[in-house]
Amino acid sequence: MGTIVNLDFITGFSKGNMERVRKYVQMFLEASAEGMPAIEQSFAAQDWKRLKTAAHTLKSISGYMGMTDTQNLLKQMEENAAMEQDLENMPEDITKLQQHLRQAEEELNNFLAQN
Amino acid sequence: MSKNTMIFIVDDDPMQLSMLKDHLSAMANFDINTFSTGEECLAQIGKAPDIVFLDYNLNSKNSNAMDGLDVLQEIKSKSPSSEVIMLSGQDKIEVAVDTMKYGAYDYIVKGESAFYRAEKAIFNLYRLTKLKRNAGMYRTLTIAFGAALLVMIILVIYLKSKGLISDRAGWM
Repeated sequence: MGTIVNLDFITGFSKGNMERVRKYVQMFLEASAEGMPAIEQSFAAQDWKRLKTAAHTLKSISGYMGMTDTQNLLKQMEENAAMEQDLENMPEDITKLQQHLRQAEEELNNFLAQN
Repeated sequence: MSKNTMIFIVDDDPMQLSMLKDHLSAMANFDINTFSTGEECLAQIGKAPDIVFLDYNLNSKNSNAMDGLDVLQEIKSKSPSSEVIMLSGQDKIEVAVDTMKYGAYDYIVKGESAFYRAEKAIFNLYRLTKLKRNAGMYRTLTIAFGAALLVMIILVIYLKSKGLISDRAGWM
């Protein structure tokens, strides 16, 4: 499997300042650790409004980590939750998202360990 | 706008808040204040910031918190001179139009290009402020010139009526 994270944007945005890159990576990891359970819990409670909001929050910051596939997945989940449509696909989407975020966490922790 | 332009950034997403603050801090010597809720921002609105970057979805973490549109209306009512630039993850035109209707100066969709667009919005505001200042200066000059001309005409009429100047002098 290829990498899911691409730090080109965030490194360019930080003008190569690794301290800043590390700060944003850590902030992303914290947001991801909060966002995934929020999505799982709101799905269990069938609280679509909350699920939409949680997906929305993760969507923008996934883009900053170069996680384009994750961003597209979250966009789709956000739209489905907002329109309350294709909800039968939600469990599969949540499983995919868990895989994406788990892989991202591993890659980002490796980055933090090396930089 | 003075050289210490005061900027408020309001966003309940710590990463977005931090990235925009870092980006603007590197751009110029702005006086930047950050808030994670609209309520905190409104408590400080008496400072009359020049620019407010305001997130549209401010109640993502706390559903009882004020949302961006409510905060926008409060800002425009309490500090009309503050220019508000809305930030949102939604690229829907109707959302943007809604915010403009309530007095937002610009609407920026969050994403990689948002930081460049934020910079551009600030430059545009500087240009607008300069234009307004120039327009004000020209208006003042026109009024002053008109008043001076009127005083001169009255003076000439008065001097003529007193016989202190005559037509032969070539004044009138």
